[in-house]
Amino acid sequence: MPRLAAIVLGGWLVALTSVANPTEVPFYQGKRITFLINFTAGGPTDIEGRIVARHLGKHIPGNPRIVVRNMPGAGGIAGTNYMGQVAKPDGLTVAFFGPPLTQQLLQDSGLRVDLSEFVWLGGIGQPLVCFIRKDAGGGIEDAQSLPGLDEFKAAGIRPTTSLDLRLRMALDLLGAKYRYVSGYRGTANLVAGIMQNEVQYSCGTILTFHQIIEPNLIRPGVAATLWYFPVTDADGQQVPDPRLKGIPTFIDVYESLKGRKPEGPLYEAMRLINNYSVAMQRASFVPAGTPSEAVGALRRAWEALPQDEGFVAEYTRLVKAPPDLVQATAVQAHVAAVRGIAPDTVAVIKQFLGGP
Amino acid sequence: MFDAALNGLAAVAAWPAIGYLFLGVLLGLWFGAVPGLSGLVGMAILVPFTFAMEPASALAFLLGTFAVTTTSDTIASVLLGIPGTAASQATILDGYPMAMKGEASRAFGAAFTASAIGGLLGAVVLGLSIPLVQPLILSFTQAEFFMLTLLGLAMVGALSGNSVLLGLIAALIGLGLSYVGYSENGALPRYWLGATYLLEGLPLIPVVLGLFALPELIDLAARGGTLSSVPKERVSSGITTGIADALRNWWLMLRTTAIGAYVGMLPGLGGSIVDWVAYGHAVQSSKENEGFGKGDVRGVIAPETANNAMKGGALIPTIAFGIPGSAAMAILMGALLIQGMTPGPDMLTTRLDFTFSLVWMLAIANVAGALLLLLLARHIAKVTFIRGHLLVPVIVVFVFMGSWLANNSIGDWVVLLVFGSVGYLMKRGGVPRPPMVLGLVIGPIMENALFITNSVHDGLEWLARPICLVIAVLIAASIVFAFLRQRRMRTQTKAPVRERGAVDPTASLLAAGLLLAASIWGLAPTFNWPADVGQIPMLTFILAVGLSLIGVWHSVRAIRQAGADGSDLFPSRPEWGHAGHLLLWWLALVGITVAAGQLIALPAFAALYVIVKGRQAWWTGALYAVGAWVLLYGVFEHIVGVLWYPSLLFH
Repeated sequence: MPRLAAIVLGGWLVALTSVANPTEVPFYQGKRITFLINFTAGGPTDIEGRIVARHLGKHIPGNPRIVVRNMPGAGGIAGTNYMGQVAKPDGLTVAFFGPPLTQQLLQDSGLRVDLSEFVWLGGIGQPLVCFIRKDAGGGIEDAQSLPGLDEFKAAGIRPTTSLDLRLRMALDLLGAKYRYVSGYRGTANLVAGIMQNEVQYSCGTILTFHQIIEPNLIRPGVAATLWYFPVTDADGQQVPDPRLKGIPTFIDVYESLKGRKPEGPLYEAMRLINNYSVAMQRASFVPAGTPSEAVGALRRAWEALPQDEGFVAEYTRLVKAPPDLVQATAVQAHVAAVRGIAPDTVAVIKQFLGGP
Repeated sequence: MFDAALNGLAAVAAWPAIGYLFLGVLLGLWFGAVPGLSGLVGMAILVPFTFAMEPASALAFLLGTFAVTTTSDTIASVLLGIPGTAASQATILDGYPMAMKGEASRAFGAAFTASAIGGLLGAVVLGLSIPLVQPLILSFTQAEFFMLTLLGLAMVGALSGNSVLLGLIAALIGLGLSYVGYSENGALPRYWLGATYLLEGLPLIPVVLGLFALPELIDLAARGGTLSSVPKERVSSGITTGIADALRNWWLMLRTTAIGAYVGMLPGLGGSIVDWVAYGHAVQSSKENEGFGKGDVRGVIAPETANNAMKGGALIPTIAFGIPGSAAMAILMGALLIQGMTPGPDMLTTRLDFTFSLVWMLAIANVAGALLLLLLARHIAKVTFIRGHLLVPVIVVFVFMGSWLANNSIGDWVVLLVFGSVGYLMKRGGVPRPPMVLGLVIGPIMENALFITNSVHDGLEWLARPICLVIAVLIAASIVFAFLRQRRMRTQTKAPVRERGAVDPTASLLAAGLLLAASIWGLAPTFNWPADVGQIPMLTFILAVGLSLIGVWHSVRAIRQAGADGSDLFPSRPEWGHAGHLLLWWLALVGITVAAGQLIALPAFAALYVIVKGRQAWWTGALYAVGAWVLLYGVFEHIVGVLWYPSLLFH
């Protein structure tokens, strides 16, 4: 018993000194953080990452220098493998990724690491907004006339991306007649295809929507906004995004057309993909085994970002909407949820993709 | 409109915007001159610095950098036969032979003048086409894109010197190389050898540096002398000759400006093809075109005009529709967004002043960059009279680091060395290398465009679209022209000179055999793939197998002929010794990197090479090592921010 007391007392003293000692040097004093981005320079992940990198440092005790580096490849998988297999857990390599969660879900053979083993710091959420050319399938002004429309073409990037999965699943759930055209190399080409009337329907993140779709397609009257995909809470209730006020949610549209809430395995799969995709459009993490001092400092810096006026202003100017910063516990929970998804849901998605 | 143009100029001319413009120009010249770096890398590095600037300053800084990388990229292309950026590959074909004839200064004079005029006119095209832009861009759907890529491939005829057959095989293998990694449509990876590195496909820069730079380095090291085979005293033509050359070919410059601006305008094609199209056009439109590939100054003027004119064109879809046609334009668009500017119709109405500012920035930067280089050209050209062994280590550092920038992975170096070996064999065997690069560049765009076209349209109805028909006629004309030209040259010259340097019949057979083996290897798995993934590779490789068989047969016949004539069957034997020797040096470089990292391996390589091969004193070696280290640490570590190889010793 006295031994136990000594251990407790000793531990308490150690804890006390490590917290209270004002002369202690912060972990990141004089150090340099490599901020790794898993897509090419100039892409949306890169631009947002560079803004975060500019502001995060001042919230980390010791004010480390943050240098951005890109490791693109294999749809974000190359950088993810690097974080799991090569990067040292010394707190000096921090990932800011578009995390390949759907690839993890579908057990992509290129992905060699388990995302749930990383230590997650935070993320930025971005909902997906869908739109359609007004001259599609005989003419449409809003989502209400969608089911009666003649066949139109829905454009995507690659069948296994969360973008393509969601934009198709929504149309299937509503029973719309469409032809699926995938393979556009990024948002820019996709938007060009819609302007040329080569294809008529697609979706984009809030950044793409505000900066490209609205000025070039919506305001000139070429296209109409259909809906956005809301996040749902633990009870399946939708959580509207205040930044998209005035645009109906997919659930609202479904309800007004079908007279009931969406349900069933396909909807469940879509809901699931949407929840983690929106909450973790971008997310930051460090390798497992990173010292807890470093993790603590980085997480606190993420927590400070919503109050950082400079950051919020810069981000808002870019996206035309304030940032939706997601904190570590929520992000970690989403990653764990993907890991724990029931095999029959995965089977539904694979079947939807036309696989075995 | 006129007011807007003047207001735009006033915004650029004001301090500090004009200062940032010139600073950007200086940085851009540097990024363009170093092989492997490029405007894209430069802009990615510089863009965070612009977040805190005023819009005019920020864009001046970035556009200054962007505008002139295709001016200074000529330097490495001409002096070393290494493309400075992807847009100056075609410049090598005639620029490098000019340097070997001691005419580097003349090539620079012509190239920089062409760049300035191309850039200036490109900006004018940008300014003038602002009102007409929408119908033009909107008329090019994926169907037209597909036809355009076929036209690009048809240019192979013009780029293949005397051997259209070997050129076609190389182009097909280039297409085949572009299929490596995830297919454009299915989720199925192709030819990836189980390496995650290859999932995203072969990176362009290491392949290009391997195909072009390493063979030239081997020859430079083997010769032991200077790059120019003519001593300095005997060279009479200089910069002014080059400037006069350019001005005399004003009509060619005008046409290649148009090509550059319009190819630049089409999102997705851009830099890596524009120089080839312009070069092909120059060859096809010239009556006396036998000198092309041997140092014809028009072969420098055409691509250098077009690759600067392209920049103006590339800005159009970015500003007018928010559709960036290239990665560099995507960065520029990011910068615009951060400055609170929304690309779209507003940029042509309420923000027209600012759009005109961008036009002015391009114009001023192009002229300033070219003038500066013209002043320096005389000194830069002196490199051609320096002993090769002193140059090799410097170039090796840049070439290896340039490749490393692709993915920051040791795979980049493996690709570099593999394609270095392939490129050397092709060079010795007289198989043209440019078509292979063209195939690699065009392949993904072609497959993607065809796939989308097929899923959008029913059957072949898209072929009847008017622009598609026009391009189809151009394609047919290009092919007919290529064969006619080959026949005419056959009758004029008895011994065909396929590419610079002697063609070795044994190497030729080896190269043709290698291409045949690669085609069969590529064809085999396609039968087991689903149609959307396997169809196009299957078609490519069936064609490649057929043509390679003919190629092998030609080579065998050439060897028999040479044997009957009693001439040497393997004349390049001594060069192969040198090549093997240098390859060992490079393998050692890779080995030391794996053990101790690049910051030790590259300086050590530079020092040892210059001491052992260059027979220099130890302190010269030390100087090289220190120089290399300062470059690596100062530039690549601090400015570029590369991820070094995690070596065994220091990881």
